Amino acid sequence: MITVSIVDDEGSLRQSITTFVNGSPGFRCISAFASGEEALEHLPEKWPDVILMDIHLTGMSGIECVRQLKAMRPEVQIVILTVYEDPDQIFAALAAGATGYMLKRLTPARLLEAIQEVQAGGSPMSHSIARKVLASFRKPGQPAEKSLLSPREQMVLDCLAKGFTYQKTGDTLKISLHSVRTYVRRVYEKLHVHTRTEAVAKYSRR
Amino acid sequence: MCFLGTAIENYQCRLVSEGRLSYNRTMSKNQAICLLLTLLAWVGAATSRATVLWSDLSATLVYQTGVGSDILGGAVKRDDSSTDALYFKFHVDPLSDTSTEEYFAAFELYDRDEERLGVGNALKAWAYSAFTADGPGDVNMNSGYIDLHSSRPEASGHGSFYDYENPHRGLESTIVFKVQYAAGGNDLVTVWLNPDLGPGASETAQSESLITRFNANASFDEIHLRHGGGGGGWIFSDMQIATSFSDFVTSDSSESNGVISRLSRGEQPVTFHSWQREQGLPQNSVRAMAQTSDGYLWLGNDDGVVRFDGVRFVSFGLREGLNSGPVQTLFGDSAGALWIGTSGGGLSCWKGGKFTTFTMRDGLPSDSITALAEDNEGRLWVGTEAGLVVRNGSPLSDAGEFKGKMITTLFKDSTGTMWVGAAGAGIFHFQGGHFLPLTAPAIERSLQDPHCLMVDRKGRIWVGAGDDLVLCRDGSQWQPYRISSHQTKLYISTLAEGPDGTIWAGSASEGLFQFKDGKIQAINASSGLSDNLTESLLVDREGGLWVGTHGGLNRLHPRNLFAFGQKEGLGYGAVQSLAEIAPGTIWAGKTSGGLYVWEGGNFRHLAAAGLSLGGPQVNSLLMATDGSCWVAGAKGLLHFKDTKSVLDHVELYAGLHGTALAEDREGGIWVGSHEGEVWRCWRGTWTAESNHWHTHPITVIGLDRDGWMWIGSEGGGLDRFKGEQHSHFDKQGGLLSDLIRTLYLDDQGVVWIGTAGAGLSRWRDGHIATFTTREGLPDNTVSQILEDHEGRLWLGSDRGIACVSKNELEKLAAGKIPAIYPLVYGRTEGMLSEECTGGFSPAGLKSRSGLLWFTTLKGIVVVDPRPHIADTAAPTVVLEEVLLDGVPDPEFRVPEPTPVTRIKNDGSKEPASEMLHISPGKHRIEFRYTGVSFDSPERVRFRYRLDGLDTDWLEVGTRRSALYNYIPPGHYAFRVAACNADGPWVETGVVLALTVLPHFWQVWWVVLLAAFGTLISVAGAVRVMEKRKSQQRLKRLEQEKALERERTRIAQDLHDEMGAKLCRISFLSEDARRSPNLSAELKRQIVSISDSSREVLSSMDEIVWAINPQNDMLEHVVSYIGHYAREYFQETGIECELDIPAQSPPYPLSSQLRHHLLLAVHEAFTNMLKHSGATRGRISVVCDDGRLEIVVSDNGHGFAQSENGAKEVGATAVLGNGLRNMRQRLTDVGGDCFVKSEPGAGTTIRFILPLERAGLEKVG
Repeated sequence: MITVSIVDDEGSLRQSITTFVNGSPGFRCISAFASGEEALEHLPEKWPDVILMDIHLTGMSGIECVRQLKAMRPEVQIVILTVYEDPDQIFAALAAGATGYMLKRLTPARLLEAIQEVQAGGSPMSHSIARKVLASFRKPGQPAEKSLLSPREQMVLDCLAKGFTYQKTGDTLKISLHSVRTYVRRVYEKLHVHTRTEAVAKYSRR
Repeated sequence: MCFLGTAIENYQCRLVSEGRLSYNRTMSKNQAICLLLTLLAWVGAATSRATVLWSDLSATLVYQTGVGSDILGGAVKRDDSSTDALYFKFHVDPLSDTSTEEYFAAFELYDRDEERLGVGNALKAWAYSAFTADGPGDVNMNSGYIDLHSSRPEASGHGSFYDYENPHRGLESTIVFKVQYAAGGNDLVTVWLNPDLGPGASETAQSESLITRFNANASFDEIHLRHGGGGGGWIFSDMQIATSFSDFVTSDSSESNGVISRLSRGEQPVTFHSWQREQGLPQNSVRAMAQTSDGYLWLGNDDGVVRFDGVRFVSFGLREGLNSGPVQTLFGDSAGALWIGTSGGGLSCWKGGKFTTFTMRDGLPSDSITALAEDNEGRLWVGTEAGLVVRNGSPLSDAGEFKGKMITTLFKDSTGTMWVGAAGAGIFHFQGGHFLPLTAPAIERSLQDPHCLMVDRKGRIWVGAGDDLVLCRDGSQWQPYRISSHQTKLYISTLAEGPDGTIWAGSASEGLFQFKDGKIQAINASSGLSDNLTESLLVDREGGLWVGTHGGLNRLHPRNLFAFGQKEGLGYGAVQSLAEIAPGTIWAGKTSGGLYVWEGGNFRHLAAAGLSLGGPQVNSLLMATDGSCWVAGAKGLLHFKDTKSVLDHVELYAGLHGTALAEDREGGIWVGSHEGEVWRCWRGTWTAESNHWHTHPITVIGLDRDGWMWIGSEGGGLDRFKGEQHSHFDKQGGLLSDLIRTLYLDDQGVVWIGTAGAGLSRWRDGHIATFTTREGLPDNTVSQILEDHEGRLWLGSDRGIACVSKNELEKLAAGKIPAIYPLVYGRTEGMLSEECTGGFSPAGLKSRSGLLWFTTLKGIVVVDPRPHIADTAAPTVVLEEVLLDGVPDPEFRVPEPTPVTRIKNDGSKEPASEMLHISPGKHRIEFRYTGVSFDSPERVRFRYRLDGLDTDWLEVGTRRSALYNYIPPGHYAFRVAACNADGPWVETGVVLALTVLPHFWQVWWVVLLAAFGTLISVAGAVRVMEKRKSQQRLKRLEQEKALERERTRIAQDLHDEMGAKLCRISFLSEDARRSPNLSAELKRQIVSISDSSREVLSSMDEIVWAINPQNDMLEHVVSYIGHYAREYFQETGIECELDIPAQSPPYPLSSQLRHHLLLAVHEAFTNMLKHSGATRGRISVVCDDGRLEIVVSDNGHGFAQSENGAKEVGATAVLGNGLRNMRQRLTDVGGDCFVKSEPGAGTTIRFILPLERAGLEKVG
């Protein structure tokens, strides 16, 4: 049984997703919140395995909420659920600590798959996000070996940014699909740390 | 079927506990005597003149005082010969807690240093108690204490209680006691612990359970506040001695004011809008404030000044030439200049965009400026740390009297008299060329130490002086108010008068004090003030009070929304219906938990007979004119004939699931049921009104002015009938929805119809007009409609409560205005849930005092419509900046506000007073303007026009800048005007005349043309034509820009609005598909609904993406093509391989270019999927130097090509069209498209786009 919480300010949609998740065997939606503030207040009472988070919330943004939830409980998995793909926003959410994202328009069955995938340690990364991630690690004038990423991670990321699927990436690099997922998860973690340290560096310079 | 016959179980139930009745009705002998005594006392009190003899409203912390010291100062005394009665009141906030420590604390009467009577907590009592001096010695140590009776007695175990109450930390109490003095003998003392002092309360009406009586000697000439033992002490406040009980009762200036104080449960009905760093305030500390004549609010902080227009803060400091340090005082003079008094940097003046600074070198006695004011002659008075000078024109003349003295305050009163306060010297007013001192021997010492001074419109002089005093001189009488506290540093640093005559005093550590109707109220951080250290106060021209504190800027708002939820006793969940049972008594019905009642304060559950039989779900409540109340539940209808004995007596009509209730003129009760039945009960007889019904649940029944009965249902539209006449309204008849949520039938015979999902409709004389979110409503579901006293409708929707005037709606219906801008209350204003409940009637309640009650998914919201400030004050428009190619134009000077209409009549030749010259060449010109308004800055709207280029006004909503990409040489005038949300466009706006200078050749061209021969003139003509063409194109481009902005907004709105709803459809259908016993056909249909909803979403995504100006770089396009291909071929059977560069060089791509390119690529994808029969595809993108190449290839069956690249006869016409389209699209944007295909060998389509050119396109 995977427990799920939903943070979405669209009441009717929240209700629909809750009903849908609860109607799916192996899943249980244990709480639903209309705002980030509400979620921060009540989630610590009972943590789910996976949190589905909308980006555009009234009040605190979903990104800020992810940041604070991750700080409270690093092991919780947060999947961004958004109406349409704005790579900047999604990237910011991933940098804040989310481990995946889903477009609301994908089939509901895909939603369940994504929850399972994230719970099982995988991380979905689309072509456009991979490009963003790559750009964030690659600083102008910095030699590649100075990068925070290991050569393998760098290769995986390069493949994804070129538009390869996970499968093709695995085939090209002669590694298993599972390994690709693991590398992607590691990239996410580094991205999180990387953006955090960058923020700290900026702050201490003041 | 007929529920009058078999289904009715009409029985009267008498569910009474006799014991309960007798408990209430019988009275013990003791109580009877007490009552008699009280009555006598009341008669006695009523004859004497009611006066407050002494008061100290401040809060005083009392901690380890020993015997304490007198606080009365001989104001009142009573001895053995006294025979009158006195009332004492005090409020305590215990910091010590009897459950953890032993202590005593008391308000104690002393007579010539001897203890007489203490009220508080006696040492041995461990409870609220009184103690007396029965003999010599320390009375407190004796066991002679009396526990005070309490209405909240201490629990001694499950269900049993002691007859006393322990003082608990955090639980405040008010104690009133009366002493009836008897000559020579013991006096009679009556103590009330927490009496009702609300409006209308009286001594006799107090509950017996909180009264304690005893005899004691209560002579006194001193009062001591004492504390000893453990804990943090007690805070005493609100202490008074008066001659009658009614002196302590909250005054009730108007009935509904009383209701407000009952609604707010004793809290001040005010809130603050606060700005701190998070909200853009550059520095939290606001040391000084002033409003200049252009409307701006200016704030002084440690680094300089900050300008605020209600939306944006702009800092001015060192960079602009203000070389000063901390600002101490600010003043806006009559000439529009801002004067800045600093601590150590002298005096500066900001005018026309420049700072001028004056220091000791210019004749100032000190560089530390403390106070500023302007007299009637326009002379600036400058108070410094070492004297006073007056600036007359430019020279400074010294007022010698104050040499070396620190001027603390300067004030010009309404008669033009100047007042001066100087430390160590006192207060003076300037008359006939002399400074005359104010004298008052009793308070001489305090007057010597003034911090701030003000003369109000009534002519009263207010002075903040000494450590803790506010002095007020009314006529010749001085009234000192002590604002003492346990904090060390408290003095009144600033004073202001509100538009209603309320005096505000800001203190250095305790927030604000409000002097109103002879009462002092503390208002501080607990009411939302950002900090208790008040630095400055200002009342702006709109009448709003600004409070500058150490921790932020605040503006006071009357609080007019009050929420009741779980915390206020309503339990969890939705509230359905409301009824006002008696003035100020409200019943609320809930779907999950029966009835609740409110009589001030919090709600409580109402135990009523028959509720369990009628079903705990209460749908609807109706207060009938005969004083009885009807309650419609899921299982039956209850009728409480006497609302005072709801436990005793009820009539139950079982089996009727009523959802709508109404009463007609004859007193007949109409009931609409969930099953669509309509019944009428008149004098006990029930009749079925069966003419028009259907099976949809009846949601509302209402009677209009002309006697028509209107019936709305959920799904069946709207019916009305009168006698035999009947008409029906539904989707065919002009309504947008058949789901009727509510009706409001107003006095003018207009029917307002609230629907689910289709907004608000207005029916008048047979015509229907509909208003939706398109016209400005916050939501399309309207469940509750109430009208206030000013003809405004308050709509309870799924997204908050919207207030809109009927006038505006009429104008909208008549097409005179395009949209409305309603005032919307939502979660930010304090609603617990924004969704108002509906589907029953009556819905919402306008109480007799004019308050509007709305039911929501989480409790109840009450709105007081009165304090709503009509947006009458027009926003001042200021043109702040003109940017040339993104850089502020140094030549620009802020033009003065001008009546727009006047200039307009003058034609396009502008007065040359303010003329901006723009140098030759193409420039991007941006005008930045603002509308200064503080009441509702977010609702100020603008329109602008550039005369000479624009033909009409451009309404731009709330946007505060206008961008023109190219303005051809010529004379222009830029105009901008503003309006409030519901106001008209204001007449005064600003106009800036500007001239765009031509290049020299643009002028001399014609001369040259004449001088040279025919050949050259032909060449010149060509050139001129080109020039004109390019100018026209640029003009068109500018228009396109505006269009594009609008398009973006519409697409975005469409997307946001529909996106969520489509997602919902997708999820709902997925859920529906899972239900068992669905036919295969139905399942297929559901799946197709789900797919379609997602397809619509995808298409919308594409549209939004292509026109979003943010996606204007090559990288965006490349990334999007990859993403799009991945999505497009997902689950199609074509395995699609992508090969896209991981990064792409920075080239800009215009929206038009993106649009064509994407459509062409889309076309190629469609061809591959639909016509190629391919199993594998490959999409590659290459961006090398100056060239973008996209190749879409497949392994399908291909087709034969003719020489010119067109399709052969054998290929389908569709395919041919597609290819032609692609080619055309690419050619349109300057690119190329090559198609290579052979039968059986797949197809390759190459799109090539030169990038440099694309870049130029963008820049041009």
